[in-house]
Amino acid sequence: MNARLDPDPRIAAWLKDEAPDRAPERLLTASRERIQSTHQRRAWWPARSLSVMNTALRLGLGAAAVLMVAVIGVSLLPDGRTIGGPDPTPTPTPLASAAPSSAQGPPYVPGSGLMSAGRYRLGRITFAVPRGWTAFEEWAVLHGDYAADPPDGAGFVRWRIASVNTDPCHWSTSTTISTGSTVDGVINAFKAQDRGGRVVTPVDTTVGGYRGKLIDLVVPADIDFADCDQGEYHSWTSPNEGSRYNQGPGQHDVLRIVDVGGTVEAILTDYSVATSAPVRAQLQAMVDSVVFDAPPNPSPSP
Amino acid sequence: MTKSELVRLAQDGDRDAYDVLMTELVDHLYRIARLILRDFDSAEDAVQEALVRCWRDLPQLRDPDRFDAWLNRVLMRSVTDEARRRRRFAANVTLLRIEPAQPDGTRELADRDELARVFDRLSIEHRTIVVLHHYLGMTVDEAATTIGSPVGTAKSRLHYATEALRAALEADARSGSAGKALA
Repeated sequence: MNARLDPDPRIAAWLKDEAPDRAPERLLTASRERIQSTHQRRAWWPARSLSVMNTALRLGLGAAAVLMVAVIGVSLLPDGRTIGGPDPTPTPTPLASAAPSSAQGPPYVPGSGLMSAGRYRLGRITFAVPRGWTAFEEWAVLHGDYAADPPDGAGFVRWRIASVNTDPCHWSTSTTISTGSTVDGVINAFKAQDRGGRVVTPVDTTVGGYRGKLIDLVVPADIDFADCDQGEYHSWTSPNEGSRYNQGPGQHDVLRIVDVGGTVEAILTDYSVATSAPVRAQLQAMVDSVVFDAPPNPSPSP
Repeated sequence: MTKSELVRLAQDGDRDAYDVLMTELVDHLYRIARLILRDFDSAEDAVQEALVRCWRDLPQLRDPDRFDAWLNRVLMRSVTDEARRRRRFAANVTLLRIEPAQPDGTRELADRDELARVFDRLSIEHRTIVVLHHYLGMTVDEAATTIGSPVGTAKSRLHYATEALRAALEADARSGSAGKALA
């Protein structure tokens, strides 16, 4: 009978050998520079222990905290629902009038940083960004501080979709379906994708005056990305932008696919289960503000 | 001055106190990030982001004595974000692995190469749990709290990753025995 090898001591010894001795000096220097211009976020609860306070003050603060949690909790309910009340209609945040602009038109989405509210360009589209959104690699606009991740992230991205992985979890070995050059080709590819039994149902939509289809692709809520190839869930690939990699279970990828003068364009808005109704409304407002550059042979829908 | 005192001062906006803390901690943070991400640039970016987030959110830490555990969680979020950020764009790039030469064919070197090869293939989640458990010496419960996952998930990831590394070591041991038998 063979005794099984105990790998733990060898793994621990190997990790110890692999670990670098010191961080490069430039890391501290760069961090110091960023911290000099970074403001701290104050806590809304007392950061210090309550033990030194008297009982009355403790009870008062406790009651105030409970009330605050209740108010915040209700306001952050998914979809903005109030308990036992009707569904409120989400109100988009007004788009600021202080739009950055230039003589050549709206600026391109920058590489990083919190964006000023205003109109921006992404490839062949321009669109309006409200306050509170962050630029990502000249390619996407994410809500807050790079907060694309669940439970409350949100993002707006323009894509050109070339192929769809039939199994997004096992994307490295699954077959891919070419989307072709039509809206229906893209839709049919996603219909063939394994979404944990969830059926992809396209509905008619219009973006920037161009007709197309909208599909809501939901990452199965019970999936563990660690079980997927390389711990990632890849839905589709693009000729230029790489591969769409989802950030977590339950995430919604809402794709609006339209034909703009013979070229299929996809506008992705993504959000997660706890993304607030106002943020979702801002996503919708960004979509509503999209204007495509005129195609060589314009044929917008009436 | 104790670490807790430095943390309290930094919570109140004392940048000098935070600088002392940061200088003491940066090597430790970098080692962890480097082990998990397996890339110099990514590790630097992740640690820099963690240090900035730590400064920004420090006033929200309720108990300064829990600073180390809290900082580990901040680092893990930055490491995960960095891995995802890189992946988002690197997904279509096929990396060509250049197999390192084995100068003398010793057992120890072969073990190390095999461990590195298998470790590099693990997902970021699996590498994280291995580093937290085998390098930092955390229990599975502590590691689960640090990465914010259920204990069962952490346990299953550690089991999977350890089995993969064990298989690599056993395969290497078998090939070494075969080599000796043929010699």
